[in-house]
Formats: sequence, C-alpha cells, structure tokens
Amino acid sequence: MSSNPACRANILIVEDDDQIAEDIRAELGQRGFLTVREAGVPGALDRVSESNFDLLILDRMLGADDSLEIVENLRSHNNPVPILFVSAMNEVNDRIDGLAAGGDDYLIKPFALGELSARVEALLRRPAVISREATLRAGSLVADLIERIVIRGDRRIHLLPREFRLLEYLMRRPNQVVTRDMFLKDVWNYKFVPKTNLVDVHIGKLRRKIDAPDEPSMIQSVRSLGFMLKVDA
Amino acid sequence: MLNVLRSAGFRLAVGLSLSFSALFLVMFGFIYVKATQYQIHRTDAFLVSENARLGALPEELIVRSVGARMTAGIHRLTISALFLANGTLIAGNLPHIPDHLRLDGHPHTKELERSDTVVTRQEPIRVVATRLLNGDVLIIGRSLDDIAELRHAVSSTLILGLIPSVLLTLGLSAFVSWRTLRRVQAIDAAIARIVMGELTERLPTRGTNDSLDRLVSSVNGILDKMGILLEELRDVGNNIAHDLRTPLARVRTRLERCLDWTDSPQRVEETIEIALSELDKTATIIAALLRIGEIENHRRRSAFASIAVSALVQELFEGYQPVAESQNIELTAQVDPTMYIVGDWHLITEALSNLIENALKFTPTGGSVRIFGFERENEALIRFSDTGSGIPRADQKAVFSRFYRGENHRLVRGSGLGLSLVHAICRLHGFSIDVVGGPPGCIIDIRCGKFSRDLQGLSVLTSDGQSSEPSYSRPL
Repeated sequence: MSSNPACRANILIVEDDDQIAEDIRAELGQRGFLTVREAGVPGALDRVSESNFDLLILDRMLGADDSLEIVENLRSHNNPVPILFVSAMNEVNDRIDGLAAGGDDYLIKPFALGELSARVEALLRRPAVISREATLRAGSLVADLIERIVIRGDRRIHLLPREFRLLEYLMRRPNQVVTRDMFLKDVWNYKFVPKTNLVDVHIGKLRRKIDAPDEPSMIQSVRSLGFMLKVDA
Repeated sequence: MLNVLRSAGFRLAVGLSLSFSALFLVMFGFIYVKATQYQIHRTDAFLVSENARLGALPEELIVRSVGARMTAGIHRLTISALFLANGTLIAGNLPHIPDHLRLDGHPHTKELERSDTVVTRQEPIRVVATRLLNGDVLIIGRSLDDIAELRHAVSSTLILGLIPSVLLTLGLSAFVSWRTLRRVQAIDAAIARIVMGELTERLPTRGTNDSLDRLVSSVNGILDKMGILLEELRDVGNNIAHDLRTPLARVRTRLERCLDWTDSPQRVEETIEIALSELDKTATIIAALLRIGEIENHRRRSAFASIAVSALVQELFEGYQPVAESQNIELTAQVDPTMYIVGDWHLITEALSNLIENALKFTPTGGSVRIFGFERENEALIRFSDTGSGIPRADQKAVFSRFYRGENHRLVRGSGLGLSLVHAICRLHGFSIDVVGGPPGCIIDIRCGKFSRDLQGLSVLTSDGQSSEPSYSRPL
C-alpha cells in the first residue's frame, strides 16, 4: 500500500495502554515506519529532546497526565513536528484544546488502524501538499484550479463544484488512502459523521465521470476505509 | 411536647410575651409611683396647713376640733391628738406621743395605732406634729390606706390583665407551634422516605395555600420533574444497555463460532469483518450519546452567527441529492432567500442533515422528501415533509426523547438517537420542533423564532440541480 518508500518516517508513539500501543506499532511497522513507544509524559519529553521524530502520536490522557504538556513543550521550542492526537476524550472542547495547543489532527478511540495509517500518511505528506500551483497533475488527470477545468487525456470532464473539490482533494494525495472521515472533515467541513453513505454516493458519481468505460479506474475503493487516487509512477 | 417547647415558633412567642409583660410591669409601676407620689403630696400639703391652722387656734377650740368630729369629718384625719408638754393626752385618739416622732411641723410616715376603734392595729400613717407656743403637742395624721388601696387596685389589675394574656399567648403559640411542628415532622418523615428510595412519595400539603404549603407544593413539583427524569434515565439506561448489548452479543457469538472455523480462513475473515462493523455500531451509539450530552451540557453559544438558511440548505441539498437519487427518491428544497436565523452553522447543519437522513431512511423508493424554509405568522419556519410511513399520533411527542424507536420503524436499523440529537440542538438554539403532520407521511416543523421581513422572492432548489441563486452567506 505504501507508495513512497523513500519517506519512511520515524514516529514516536506515546500511549499508556500496552495493547493499543503494540497494535499501532505493528500497523505502522507493517507500512514501513520506524516506531518508538513511550508510556508516560516524562519519558516522552526525554525522547523528543534526544532525537528528532517525523511524527508524534499522542494519547491525550496518560494516567493522570495530559499529553498537551508535551505539545506545549515542543511548540515552545519551535519544533514543528506533526502531532496526531489519539484519545477517548471526544468532546469538541477537548478536540479544540488539542488542536489549539499545536496538535495537527485528532482521532477518537475506538478507531480503525487503517484510518490511523491514512491520517499518519496525510500528516507526513502535508508540507508538500500546501504548495500553491495553479494546475494539479495526477497521471493522465490535469486540473486547472483557477478555471476549474478537469481534463483526462484529451477528454474534458464536467464536474459539479463539490465533485471538483473532491477530486482536487484526491489529486493532492495521489496513491494515498483518503478515508471517509477525512472527506467529511476537509471537503464537507462537517463536524459530525452522517449515517448515510454520503461520501460513497458522491465518489461514485465522480468516478463515473472520471473513468470512461474503456479507461482504467483511477479512483479505487479501499475496503472498509475509503478511497485512493491510483496514479502510475 | 418537649419538641413544641423547643420549637422556634414557641420560643419566639415566649420571648414576645415576656417582653410585653415586662413592658406592662414598667408601665403600671410608673403609673403606681406617680399616683402614690401625687396622693402623698396632697396629703402632706393638707396636713401641714391643717396643723398650722389648728395650732393657731385657742386651746379650747383645738381641743374641740381634735375630738372625734374631726377624724370622722370631712377632713378625713385618721389621727388628731393634743398632748400636754409632759405627754399627757388632752384630747384625741392617740394614746401617747409616738417615740422618735420629730415635732417639726413636717410630714413623716409612722406605724401608729389609734385608740378610738374597736379593733386596734398598727397602720402606716402620714403624721405632722408640732409643739405649740404653750408647750402642748399637736399631732394630726392621715392613714396611707388610700395608697395601699391604690397599690392593690393597680396590682390586681395587673394580675387580672397580664397573667391571662401571658397564659393565652403561651397556650396559643404552643398550639400553633405544635401544629407547625406536626406538619414539619410529617414533611421530614416524607423526605426521609424519599431519601430511602421511595421516589413516588410526596410531601404532605394541607391545601391552605399558606407559605409552607406553597413551598411544599414547589418541592413536590421538583420531585415530579425529577421522577419523570429518573424514569427517562432508567429507560435510557435500559435502552443503551440493550442497544450496546445486542451488537456486542452478536460479536461475541460470531467470534466464538469463529474458533471452530480454523480450516476456513475465508469464513474467519468474514466473521471478523462483521465483528468490526458491529463494534463500529456500538462506537457510533456511544459517540451519539456523548454528543447529545455535550450539546445539552455545554450550551455553547459562542459560535452563534446570522445564518442564511437558503445557503445552508443548499449545501445540504447538494450533498444529499445524489443520495436521494440513488434511492430513487425525489428531494426538493424551497427556501426563502431572505430567511435568516441566528445559530451555530455546524450544529444547524448537523440537525438538518439528521432530519434529511431520517426522511430518506423512512421514505420508500419512488417517494419524495421536501424541505421548506418560509415565514409563517411572523416566525421563521423550517419544514421537512416526506411520504414515508410517518409517526403514529400517539408517538409524536415521544419521538424526540432518547432511544425512542417507533414500532413500525423496528425493522430499520439505527441508534434511535438522531431525533433526540436534533431536539437537543433545537433546544440549545431556543427553537421548537414538533411533528405536525401524518401519518401517512411525516411533517416536522422547526420554529426558529422571529422572522425579519425582507421578502424578495423564493429560491427553488429541485432534484434536477436547477436552482435560482439564493443569497449565499456563511460564517467563517
């Protein structure tokens, strides 16, 4: 599933539950990431002062401690390392606290390991994505962000505004799993998860427009998780 | 009885009656002293002047005057006597010159015994004695019995008036205290029973509508409300347990059977998939419950802004139109573009999307779901109508409480929390939401408060994606 072996990153996992920590390490290890685990705030602070990590996965509540302390420590030293919170605390205020303190994403327990991997990948790639080109290219797809025109090969594709935003989101993350939650959060700007298959219906419509019957399908479903824009290297 | 004596009401009554008694005593005492002083003063003046007048008369006239005629006469002298210089009585009703009596013409009080009455007794007498020019001693006096009578009158009035009134006050206050105490004890006992868990118990009222009765009624009102809440809570607890247990039970049995299928990796995989989706379902229920709690508790109004309903509905419409299309349901939206409401964009979106999803879920293929936003009776109204099975009239109120699921909806799966979430969001905004139509079909109205009139025309969004441009605005 990994598409970019060169950027296998070094990840610090701070989680006090042994089983969850072990499962996260196994999942990320399987995808080629290097992981280190710490169970408490003091150990984590030692680790981040000793070595550089590409990403931190922090459980919010570590026994009696709140891992916000770690984030505040890092950010006060101007350390921009991406941080993914993983927590059973899911009130909006908790999420706001986490993100306000300098966290980059917030995942609520229980979560699918695939969702975690997708978020990790997204966070690790983020700096490259923010670049502001006027044109996006992914394989045979070209999207003009100013004129809002999409072309596959030599075929012009007409998209509704929402479909365009969905495609743009996918094209910024080629060969990367984009989960339904990511779509809802970033494209729909919903702060809740609808019960219907809203994302699937829209992706389905987009897919029928992108992939002509004789063309290979570019938008692939990733089972029980989301979708991926498949682009040949 | 001891409790009555110790009660605050009774103590207050005792204190009051003591204070009043003291006041009465002081008042009567003052009157008594003043009256006595006045009486003595008058007596003294009379005695001194009479003594001087008699003293100036010739001796035989004095002797005549001092006779019985004088004591019985209008002068009301108790004592009048004339003695020789050697102390021998010349005339009068005093046997001898009293010891230690100063013959100075000034009034003095002496215990004396007159000699002209059958029963002899010592009595307090105001006397004036003078030595005349010839050496005789003239003594006249008047009994202080008048003053004793006055004292008697005053003190008997006091006793007759004060004691019964004190007793009456104490008796009445003891009675009132006893009655109050009995009510308080009854209330106490009821509270004790409620604390022990008899939640149907209510505090006793007398129906007199006095202050205690009103207080008790208020407390009973609180108890009623709490009883309903507890009942709901118990139902919710049972429903949560049921709704969480069911998927967990399925997961458990599946996984258990899975142990026997070691020879079929494909079946094991299928089982795990099912188990995961059941677990996700429980997580969804928990998330929805927490979300409702969060909305109900936090009352965060910080994100409130003016929202163009047409813009919000258009977004939702664009999102759900393909879903409706895939189910062959006609989705339309018709919203007054001048309709603004005050609220949290994300929460309103969440509420309306829940209503749309609900409508899509319960509307059969070929049916329609319509969203309206318009003004009615100066009020902004958002209406959802669908051609689904509808909600039975008897259930239309209960439908917004937690975990309600109508009988005819049993076949459709869901956490049953969607409408209570919508309700919580409406409550947070001060909107009211009601089922106003059906079955068949269902019409739900959200009344969003005062409508500010700026009608320019209706924007119509329809399922074919055609729409007149509504005014579009959203908070950042």
